[in-house]
Amino acid sequence: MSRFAPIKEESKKEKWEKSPYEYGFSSPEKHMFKAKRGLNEEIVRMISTMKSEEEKMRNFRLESYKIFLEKKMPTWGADLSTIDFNNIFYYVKATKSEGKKWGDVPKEIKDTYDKLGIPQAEKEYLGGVKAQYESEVIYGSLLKKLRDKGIIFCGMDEALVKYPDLVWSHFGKIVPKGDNKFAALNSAVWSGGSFIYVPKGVKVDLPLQAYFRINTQNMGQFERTLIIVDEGAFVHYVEGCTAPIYTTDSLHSAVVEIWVAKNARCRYTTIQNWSTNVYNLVTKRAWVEEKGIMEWVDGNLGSKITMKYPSVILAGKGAHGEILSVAVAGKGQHQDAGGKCIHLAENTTSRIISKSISLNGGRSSYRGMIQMNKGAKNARSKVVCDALILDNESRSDTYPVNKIMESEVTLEHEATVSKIGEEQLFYLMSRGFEEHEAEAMVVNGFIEPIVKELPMEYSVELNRLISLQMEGSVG
Amino acid sequence: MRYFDVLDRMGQSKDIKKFLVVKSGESIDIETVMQFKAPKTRGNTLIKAVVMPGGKLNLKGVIKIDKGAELVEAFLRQSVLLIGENSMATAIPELEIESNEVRASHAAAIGRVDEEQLFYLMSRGLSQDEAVKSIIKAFLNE
Amino acid sequence: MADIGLELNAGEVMALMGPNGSGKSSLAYALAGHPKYAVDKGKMFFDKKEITELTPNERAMMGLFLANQAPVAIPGLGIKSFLWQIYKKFENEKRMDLVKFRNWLDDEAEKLQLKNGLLERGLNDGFSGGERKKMEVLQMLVSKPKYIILDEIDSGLDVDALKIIALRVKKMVKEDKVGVLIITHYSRILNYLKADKVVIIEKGKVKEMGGMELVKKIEDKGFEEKK
Repeated sequence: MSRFAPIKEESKKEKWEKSPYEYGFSSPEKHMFKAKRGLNEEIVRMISTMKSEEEKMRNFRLESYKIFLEKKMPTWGADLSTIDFNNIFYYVKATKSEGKKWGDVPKEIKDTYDKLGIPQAEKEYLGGVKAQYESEVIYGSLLKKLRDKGIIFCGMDEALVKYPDLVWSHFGKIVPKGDNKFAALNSAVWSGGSFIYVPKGVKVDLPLQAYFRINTQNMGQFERTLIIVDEGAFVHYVEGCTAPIYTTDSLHSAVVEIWVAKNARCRYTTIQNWSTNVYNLVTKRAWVEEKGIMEWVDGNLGSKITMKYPSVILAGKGAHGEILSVAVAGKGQHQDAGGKCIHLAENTTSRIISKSISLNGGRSSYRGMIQMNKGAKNARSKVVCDALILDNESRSDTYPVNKIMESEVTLEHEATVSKIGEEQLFYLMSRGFEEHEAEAMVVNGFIEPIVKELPMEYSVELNRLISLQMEGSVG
Repeated sequence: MRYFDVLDRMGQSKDIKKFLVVKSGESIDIETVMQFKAPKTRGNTLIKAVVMPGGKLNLKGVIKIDKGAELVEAFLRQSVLLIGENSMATAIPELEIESNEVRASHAAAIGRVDEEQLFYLMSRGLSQDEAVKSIIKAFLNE
Repeated sequence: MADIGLELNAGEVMALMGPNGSGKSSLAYALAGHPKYAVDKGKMFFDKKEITELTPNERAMMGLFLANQAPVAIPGLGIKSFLWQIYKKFENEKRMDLVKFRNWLDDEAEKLQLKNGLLERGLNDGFSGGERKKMEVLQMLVSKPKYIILDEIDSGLDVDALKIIALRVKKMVKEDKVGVLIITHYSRILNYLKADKVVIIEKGKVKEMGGMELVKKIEDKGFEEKK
C-alpha cells in the first residue's frame, strides 16, 4: 500500500461526489492512452493503476488474468472460434467520442430508431456518436430519495472506493474468478457496472434503472455488477434497452453477482439489443438464502452470438428462483440462452420459462440445467421452453440437463417447437389483418407471458421491434 | 446403451417404447437418438423408468430434425419414478430442429410416489410395500 | 364440391343444411379464403365484385365475416387490444375513443352474458366452446360486416347461449340489413332466427331449395335420401 493512499482516496471520493459520470479513472486528462489492442499482464496492471486501486483488487485482477490464460474455450455452446482476443480493446477509451459521425451508423439501425420514434439526442447516443446521455435534473433527486433510505446505488468503481468492506463481502464469491474463461477475463479487466445495497426491510418501489435507461457505466464491455439485498428487502433492477445499440466493441463479457438474504427478493431485468457484430458472453448468478426470491427476466434480441444462462443457487430452505427468458434470433444470429437452478436445500422451488423465436436463418438454443442435490427434499421445479421457427432456414435447439440426486422431489420439463399455425394466421387475416401483421400478432402473443413482466416502455418497444422484424422478413 | 433410429423414407412412422426398472446398486445409461431426414415422418419415443433405492439412471434423448424434413411430427417423453433413499436420475431431452414445418415436443418428468395415491391404496387394505408395487405397475402400464 | 349456385342478399337469412360431410363448412372456408380450399371452377362475388382470388383479409375488409365452428385460441393475444385494432381498421368517421370503446365492449360482453374477466385473457385462451362462439359474435359487433357466415354456431351451445346469440344476430339483420348465411345441422336456432331461404346440400351439391317448410321436413325425416 503506497504512502500516498489516504490522500488519493480522499481526492477520489471528492471526485465521485462531484461528478458521478466518470468512467472510473481518476483523472482522464492526465492519462493519455493511445489506442492499443490486445491483452497482457502490463495492460491489466495499467487498468488497475489508472483506477488507483488498492493492492487487493490489483492482485485479484492479476490472478484472474492468469486463470484466463490457462482456461480453455468452452467446447459447447455457440461458435466462438472467430473471437480474436488480440484485436480487442480491453480498457475504456477516451470519454470523447472519437470523431464518429452520424453518417457512420448503419442504415438499418437508423431506420429502426426512426420507426421506434426515438428522439434525436438519444439516437446519437445509442449510435455511439455522442458519449453521454444525461438526464441529470430528474435522476438527481431520485438518487437523493434512495440515499435517505440507506440505499446505495452507484457505479462499481465508486463502490470499491467508498464501501470496500461491503463490496468485498461478496465480490468474486458468487461468481469466482475461476468459474469459466470469460468470468476470469471479466475479473481481470472489469470496469464500470453497478453496485446496489438495499438495507434490511427496505423495499425499493421504483425499478432502479441504469441511470434513466442508459448509462455508459452499464454499457461497457466488461461491466461488473454486484447487488446485495439484505434481509426482507426488495429491489428491481433494470438494464439495457430494446433499441439497437451500435458499438464497435465486439466482445462484451459481463459478470453479475447477486446476494439475496433471508426473506428478501430481487428482480433483475435485462433487455439486450447489441448490434450484430457483438459477442455477448455473460455470467450471471444469484445466491439465495432462506425463503428468499430471485427473478431473472432476460431478453436477448441483438448481438451476433449470446451465451448467457442466468443462474440461481437455492441455498436456503424455501428459496425460490425464476428465470423468464425471451430470445429472438434473426439473420446471422445465434442466441444460446437459458438458465440454471441449483437446489441445495429443502422445499426450494424453481421455474424456468423460455420463449424463443428463430427467423431469417437465425439459430436459437435453449441451454439449461436443473440440479437437485441430495438433501434438497421436497424440491420442485418446472421448466417450459417453447420455440417458434418462422421459416425453413432457421434453427431451434433445446439442451436441458436435469440432474436429480434426491428422490423426494418433483421435476417437470416441457418443450415444444413449432411454426406459426396456419389456422391462427387465417383467423387473424379473416378479421382484416394482412399476413405480416397477423404473423407479428401471433409472435407477440407467443412471448406475451414474458413481455408482461417487463416495465411498460420496454414491452411496448419490444412488441414494436418484433413487428418491424417480421415486416422485414415477409417478402 | 444407445438406441439410434433414423427416419429417412417419406411417410415413415416409428414408435419406440422402453420401460425399465433400475435395481438397487445398478447404474444404467440409456441414450435414444431419433433423427428425421425425410418429410412426412412421425416418431414417438417414450421412456419410463423406475429407479429403486440406491439405483442410478442416466437418460439422454435426442430428437434431431434435419433441414428439408418437412411436415414432421416428433415426440419424446422421459418419465422417471424415484423410489426410496439414494436413488438418482439425470434426464437430458434434447431437440435440434432445422426445419420449420414441424411439430416437435418433449417432456421429462422426474418424481416420487404420490402420497395421495399411496394413502388411497393403503386405506383399501394394501400394505405400504404392496401399495408402492401397485403404483409402480400402474406407472409402467400407463 | 360442385354445382353450388347460391345468392344471398342484404338483410336476408339463408340456412344451409345437410348431413355431415356434405361440404357445408368447406363452402364457408372457401368463401372466406382459407388457404386449404382451392376453387377450381366457378366464381364468388361480393357486392358484385369478384373475390375468388382475394386474400382472407381483403375479403374481410370488404365486409365479409366468418364465425368459425371451432375458433382457434391465440394465447397471449390480449382480447381488448385485439378488438381495438380491428375497430380501428373498420371504423373511421364516427370513432369512439379508447376509453369509450372499452366501456362499450364491457356492455356488449355483458349483454352476451360473457363472464366478467374473460375479456382480460388471451384470445379464447381456456374458453369453453360456448364462450368462443360468443367471442365471434362480439367481433362481429366490432367490425360491423355486411355479410356474415355462421358456421355451425349452434353446435355445443346451451339453450340460453343459443337464444342470446340468435337474437343478437337477428338484431343485426333487422337494423343493419346484414345478410346471413347460417350453416347448421339443427333447426333449433332457426326458431329464433327465421330463414328466408333454406338450402339443403348433400355430397357437395345442392339437393333442395325452399323456405322454412323444408326445415320441418328435415326435422321429421332427417337428411336420408328418399328411396
